[in-house]
Amino acid sequence: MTSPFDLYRGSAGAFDEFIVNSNAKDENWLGLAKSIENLGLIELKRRAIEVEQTQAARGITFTVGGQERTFPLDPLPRIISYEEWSMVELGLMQRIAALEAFLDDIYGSQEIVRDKVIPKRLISNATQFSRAASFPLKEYQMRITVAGLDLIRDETGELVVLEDNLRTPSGVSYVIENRRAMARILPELFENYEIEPVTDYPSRLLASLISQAPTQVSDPLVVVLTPGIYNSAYFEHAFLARQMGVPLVEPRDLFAKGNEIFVRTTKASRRVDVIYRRIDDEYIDPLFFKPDSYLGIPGLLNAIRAGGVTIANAIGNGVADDKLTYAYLNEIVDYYLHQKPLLKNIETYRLEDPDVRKFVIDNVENLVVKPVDASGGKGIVIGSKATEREIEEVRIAIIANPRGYIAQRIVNFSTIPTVVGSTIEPRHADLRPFIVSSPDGRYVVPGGLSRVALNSGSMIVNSSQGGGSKDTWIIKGRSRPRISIAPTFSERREQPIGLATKESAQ
Amino acid sequence: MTSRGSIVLARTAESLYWLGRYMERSESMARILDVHLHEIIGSTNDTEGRWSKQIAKIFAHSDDYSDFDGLAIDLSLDGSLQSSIRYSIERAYENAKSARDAISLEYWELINVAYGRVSKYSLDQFGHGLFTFYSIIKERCAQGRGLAVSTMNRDAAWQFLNLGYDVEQLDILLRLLMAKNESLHTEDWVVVLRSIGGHEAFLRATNSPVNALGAINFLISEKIFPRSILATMRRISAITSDLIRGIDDSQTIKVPSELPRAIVRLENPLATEVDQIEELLDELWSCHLIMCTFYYESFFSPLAKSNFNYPLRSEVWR
Amino acid sequence: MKWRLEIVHTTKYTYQEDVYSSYNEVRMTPKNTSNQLLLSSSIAVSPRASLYNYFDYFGTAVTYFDLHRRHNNLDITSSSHVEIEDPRTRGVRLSPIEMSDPSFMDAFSEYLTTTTYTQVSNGVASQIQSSVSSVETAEDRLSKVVEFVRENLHYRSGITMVSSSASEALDIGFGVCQDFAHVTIALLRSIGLPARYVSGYLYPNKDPEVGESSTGESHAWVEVFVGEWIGIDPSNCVDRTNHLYVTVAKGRDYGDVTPFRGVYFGGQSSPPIVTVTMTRRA
Repeated sequence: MTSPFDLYRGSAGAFDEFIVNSNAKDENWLGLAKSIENLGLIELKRRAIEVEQTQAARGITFTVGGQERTFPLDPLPRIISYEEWSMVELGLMQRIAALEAFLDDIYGSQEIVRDKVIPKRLISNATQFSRAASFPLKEYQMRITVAGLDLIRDETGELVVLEDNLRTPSGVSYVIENRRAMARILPELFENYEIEPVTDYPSRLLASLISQAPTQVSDPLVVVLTPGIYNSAYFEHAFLARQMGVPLVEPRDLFAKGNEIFVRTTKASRRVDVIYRRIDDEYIDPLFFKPDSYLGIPGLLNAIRAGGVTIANAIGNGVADDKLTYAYLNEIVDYYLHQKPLLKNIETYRLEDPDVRKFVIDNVENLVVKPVDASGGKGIVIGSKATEREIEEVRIAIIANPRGYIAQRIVNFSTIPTVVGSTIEPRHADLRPFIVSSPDGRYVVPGGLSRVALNSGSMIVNSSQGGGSKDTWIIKGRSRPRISIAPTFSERREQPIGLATKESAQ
Repeated sequence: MTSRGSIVLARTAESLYWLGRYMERSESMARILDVHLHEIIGSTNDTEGRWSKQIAKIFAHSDDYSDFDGLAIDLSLDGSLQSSIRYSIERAYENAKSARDAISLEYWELINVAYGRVSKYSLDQFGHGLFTFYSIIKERCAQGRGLAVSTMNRDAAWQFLNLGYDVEQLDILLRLLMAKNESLHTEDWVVVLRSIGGHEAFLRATNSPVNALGAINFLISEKIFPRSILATMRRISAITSDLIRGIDDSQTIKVPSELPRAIVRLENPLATEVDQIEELLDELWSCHLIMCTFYYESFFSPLAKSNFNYPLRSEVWR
Repeated sequence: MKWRLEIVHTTKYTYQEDVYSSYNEVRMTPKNTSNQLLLSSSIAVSPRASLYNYFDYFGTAVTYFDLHRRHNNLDITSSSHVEIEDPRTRGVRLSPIEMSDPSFMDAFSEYLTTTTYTQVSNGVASQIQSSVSSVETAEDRLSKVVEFVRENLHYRSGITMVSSSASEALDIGFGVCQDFAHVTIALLRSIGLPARYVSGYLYPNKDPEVGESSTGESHAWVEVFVGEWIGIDPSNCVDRTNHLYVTVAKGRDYGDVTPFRGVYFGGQSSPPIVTVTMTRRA
């Protein structure tokens, strides 16, 4: 019997996570390859369809242009060894610790500027630097409660940081739901592995939020703040509220009074202690930001300043995930922690230096140019794929506003075996790990969200542009088969309630 | 346990209430239209015309319909018509989504899947007709009710959901009675009884053939029939009292006296004249409307009266 | 010259329909500066409200309050005593080489960066840039800018709005003190001179008796860095601000110093009635 992996060759130019090099395969994958061989590709496909139906029935969706879509889950998981992950985990914690200190500093006395480690304009010209939110936090509060960093594996196979997301990073609900769906529908794949669980996340987040409550109340009220049911990540907002057992509120449910925040209930108003918000800074308080924003809660910012309520993440974090700040990450880690970064950045060009700028302008074709303050892949131009006109536009934009852009080397990031039609083919994937910080310490979800570009050769993994996802396994080597992790066969076969109707039986 | 379970946001309460109403409305509409369509087969043109008029008047707010098929199609699938099934399912879905943290996963999944089916449903698809559509709706809604019963905590959220179901049940039955009350055709009353799933219950409870006055009396005041106006009002009264007890300043909130008065009136022997029935229905309808306002003022008011009814303005002067 | 002033600044809003709740910030408390000492200050609000004070990013004293009872008028009274003298300058002056030094530009980047309010067209920017190209000292460059403003902007109220930018005011050719300040700031920044917006009060009478009250006005002027920060008042053609100027707030533009800002739910308001009474106390 031949394995569907026999024909798998990896891809040229990029590191492949299964075929490590021409004469070595990653041993961690062998158990999985064996399970797939036993299962057969046809059955695998059938199960994949079942996964999709289940996700759709549960409403595990995101919204693009008003249309609700499911996030395709590839039935082949991604495997990362525990040994490698332990280092990545340390690197992530180190990076977040440094960025937390950086934010505290620049919204305080700005010593890093005074010591001339970074230029002042890095802050004063950053669009995301929030003067209105420039005040120190209370000692029990964090600025970066939740971070979601984007990592990619470069040509040498090393995981490096592509982007820091410190505002309202999303995707963690898919990590948990993906694992759930895989265990339910493809339990056979789990047989040879001991996999780090991901389900701790909601309780870790809740613990962090509770520990940041402003008063020593025994039972602080935590809420999840969503823009509403039409938001693209509403599923995740509701998911987290449910998993933490806290109310999911919309801005109109909250109001400020005397530097405290209250929620309107059917009984009376209840004081809110901690808000886990999934609304962008500029919509949060119309008194300070967009004055016409119906989404905002007027008075919220002053309640936060006065310590009447804690908000996670803090307002103004965008200045630390500015792409130009990223370019100073080595300096930042060194300045606050006196350490070398454990996770590398991609080589980044700061365009304010005239010589560097000239080099970039002359070589746009071979570089990626990114606006410093955008997120979600907006405005990025990949030189090698851009038209003449796009390249010319980028050159003009850089000259007009050098502070507004950075340039990076184009990384041909790693590929992973992925089910495509009736074969297994290499596809590019990135990885978004999630880090929860609290005054007592940090927790990194083992693995994270692997987003995979489903089109051949594509490096665009965004869910809105044809990206899918993979369950990401952090494994402790090959170990004894574990019985408890996979549900029984009958449990797995159980149809989701509501799908069994006359119609589906016909 | 902490008191956390008892926190219901005003917005969530309102969503749960409307979720219950729209789910009940979808199911009731499906049953009413299904029964009428079945009964029309083999009946006279005269009957069809009369029924079209009655149903169109109370549910479509229109006199334009003379053939029942056209009316049924619109009341089923015309999403722009506020009493249509499609509209109701879409609103049920939105409200379920908005109250997502207060309902069970199982109940949510069912509504989500039903919404997916209904929003894509078209008549020519797979040769499925209206009857298939109604059977999907009735089945899904009944399953939904059952799932809600078996998977949700008996907390305030549950009561708001149930209140919605009961209020809508009352609303629909009162509308049906008002549409048909002038009719003395036996077939009209058979169809009403069937429309609310009470034909066999009537026969078992009364042991007599269907006639107008008997049916009206049964539908209004039969204690052992759970969908009768009396039974529904008693449930509403119990839920409302419970919810009021949960309110911090419950001293100041009282159930409008119209509700207990209406219940007492229904508990006593009913009128026998048709014109007295009409007066009674008017009284019940106005009680229903008073109660609907009451729910808003006592439970959802923090939101209904909130600032968001007024324009948000910003002020920057020099 | 050193003297004491009492300032009473009242603002009265009337709403055509009831307001149900409102959230407000007031920046009406004079600052402590090198030539101005705040002796006392208080803010009173009617209807009554709890007041919360803090200092913002620019060091301005801010008073915040929210109202949750129905009301159809709102009065804010800020009273303060200040002791002011003429600013002392040391006469330190920048050379063009210092001005183009990257570390200078970086240190002052906050007050060299264009904001929404302080934008001028490329044409205007290059016109002013070429007119100062042969001018050596910062102060002479400043004079060129003042001259340009005098020629191209004329004082007239009721034409521009509170949201008007420098380029809009220049296009129209008319404006009030806010516009004069924004245009001047925009031009100064475009030639590499750090400039900031100052809000406060101007005492109208040059030599009053002790105890004499006058009707003052809310005013806006500019501070520019020419080696040290100096105050100029472009709308009154004053090339050095003096003891008649009471400083309340400084920032990049009007948006950073707005004396009163609020959002509320309810009826439309009429333009407020503002009175500033200034009395010499010593």
